[in-house]
Amino acid sequence: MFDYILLFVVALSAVLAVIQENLYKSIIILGFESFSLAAIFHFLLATDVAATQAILGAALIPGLFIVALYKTTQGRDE
Amino acid sequence: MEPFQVGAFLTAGILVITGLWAVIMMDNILKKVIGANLIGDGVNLVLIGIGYRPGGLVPEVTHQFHATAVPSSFSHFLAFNEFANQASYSLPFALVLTNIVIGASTLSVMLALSVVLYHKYHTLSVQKIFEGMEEED
Amino acid sequence: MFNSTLIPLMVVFPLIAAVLVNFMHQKNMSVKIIAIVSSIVVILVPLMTLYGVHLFSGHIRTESFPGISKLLIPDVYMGIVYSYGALQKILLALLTVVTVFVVMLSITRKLISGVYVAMIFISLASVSAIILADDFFNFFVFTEVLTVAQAALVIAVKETKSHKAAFKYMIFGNISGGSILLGIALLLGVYGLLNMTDLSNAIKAGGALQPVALTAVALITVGWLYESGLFPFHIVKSNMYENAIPETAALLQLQSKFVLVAMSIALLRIFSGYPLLKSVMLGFAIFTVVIGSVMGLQQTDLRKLLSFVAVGQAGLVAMGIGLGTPFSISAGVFHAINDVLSMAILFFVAGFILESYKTTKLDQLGEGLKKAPLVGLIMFLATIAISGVPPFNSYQSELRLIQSAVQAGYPELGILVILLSVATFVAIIKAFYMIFLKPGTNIEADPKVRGTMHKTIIVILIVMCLFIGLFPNLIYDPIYNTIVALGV
Repeated sequence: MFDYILLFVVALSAVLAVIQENLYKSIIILGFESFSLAAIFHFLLATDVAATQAILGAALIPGLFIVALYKTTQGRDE
Repeated sequence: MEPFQVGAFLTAGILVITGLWAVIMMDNILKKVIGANLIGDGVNLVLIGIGYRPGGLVPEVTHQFHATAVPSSFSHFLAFNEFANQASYSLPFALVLTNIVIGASTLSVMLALSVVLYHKYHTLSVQKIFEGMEEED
Repeated sequence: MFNSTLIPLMVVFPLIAAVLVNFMHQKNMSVKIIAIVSSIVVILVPLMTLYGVHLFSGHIRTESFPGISKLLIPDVYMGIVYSYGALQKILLALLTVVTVFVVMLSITRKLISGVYVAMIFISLASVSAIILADDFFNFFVFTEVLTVAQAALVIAVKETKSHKAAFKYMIFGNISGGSILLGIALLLGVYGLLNMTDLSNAIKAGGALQPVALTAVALITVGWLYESGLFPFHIVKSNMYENAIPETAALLQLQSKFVLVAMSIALLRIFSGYPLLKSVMLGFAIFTVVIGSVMGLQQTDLRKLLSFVAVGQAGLVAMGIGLGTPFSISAGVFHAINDVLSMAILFFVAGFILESYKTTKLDQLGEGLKKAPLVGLIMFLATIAISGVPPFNSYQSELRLIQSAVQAGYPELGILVILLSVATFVAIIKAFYMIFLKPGTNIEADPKVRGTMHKTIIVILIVMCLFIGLFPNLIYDPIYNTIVALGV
């Protein structure tokens, strides 16, 4: 039962991440969606892929996005 | 086709369609990059959903399945043909691992490009950046 | 044994050279030495390798146990396979020669960049792998690597226009890469195979295509349209050509045309019994030919003009391949080979003009014959070469294209070929007049730019064009025999 709930959560958070206006919230929802996708990979009997997706999707990619977002809206130079 | 597999394919379809919609229709550059990431996630889910066998084993092969191993040294493990009959199909996992890394590297190049474009135009809106694309000299 | 290490060396060695050159960035002498040594090796390896098949890790072709595994064919390849035949040898020989020319031109500038030469080598490795590969997923990985390498080559120009062009290219590259991988995933799910030879046998043995496999064909065709720069992705590709340094644009258009040839032969091999695929390819190719020629005639900037002509000629190659008979497919492949040589000469001339005059806008240039009469002569010869005038090479290939179109029952396509060559001639001869013959110029030429390397290279290339034009069967016959043997 829990795995079907996870499928629904992934679809819902993907749509929310795209609709959301504030970019910081959108990136957090994207990280949450990647992490749920990693859990779904575990339920589909692919634990090594789940580990890779969890690291990249929940830590590295939101990190890159947040650095890019910081440099584009906060770090106004010159 | 197990119900969980069907559900996984449907979710993957939703992910791909959402990502495609974000790439085509969204105005913010970073939203387009988020959409490209979602397309990759959907395709990965399709690949992993192909080999699912419900109630099966995770196909992690230990070194005892080497061809010259003696059966008495690993009598508590399954024989290889029993293992192969019950594990899920592991070829798509290699494809997905490669695809996740490819997606992360193209995403980093696109983010770097959007930062550079922001420094020139001071906006993240695609309409303002690309409006003079055809008439520029 | 020795031969079987040479086939993957064609992919591995440029990657090693790229890593070394990247490591030596900003040490100009080391970059030059490594680049020159790698260029010599890279040219020699395709000429020395014998024809054959390379099986990675020794996984041989074995029985597939059709009762247990439910595969449709009796034996399968168990690993990744690279195959090297006559067609691959011709394509790789030309690819390495033009890449070495571009590397030579890039290292004779004052500011050599190790990263730039590394990106050129990575793109050479990717296109070599795309031509050689018999495994569908390996093919896909190298198309993704090629996208990033080509975008990096355009970003290196460091102007805003090039950044915008590279960003659009990468966004569409992501969509088309996802599309190709989704097609591969669907084929893996239906047939359980990734090797192209095995897939073609399984699809022939399996009867009519199931709906899932039809979706896979459509998705992979979308990826093919992007990789070759046909309609509707022609704007993205022509932006890339016009915003790169012109010598690199010569390399980019060569890579796009060879990836077009390799990918369409792979598609036709796998889905051979499906006539709608050829009609779809033909339709998109005709659109591209018309749009490329119409937009090329309107341009006032030399690089934009040449990039639209390149896109139109790629459409012509796809038209030959889309007609479907072995005669027309080999005519299309032969035209790709001829066309990349003439377009490379024109792009190198554009690079020389950019270096001397610092601009390529046609209304500001003029009286070029006073500064560089040899370059003007070679540009005129290249113009008549690309338009299909004997004794140069495009005459032979366009003749074969028109003959095959008439034989296949579409004489209107023969007229389209003639119209495209007339439009190409008019567009480029206008540029030639405005650069070299028009009296009165607004810009002074830079007298320090002598361009000896440019002049040497374009003389070598025009002699190659003349040679292929006088002896076309040296190159055409192996291509025709290979295509007939593939049974597409």
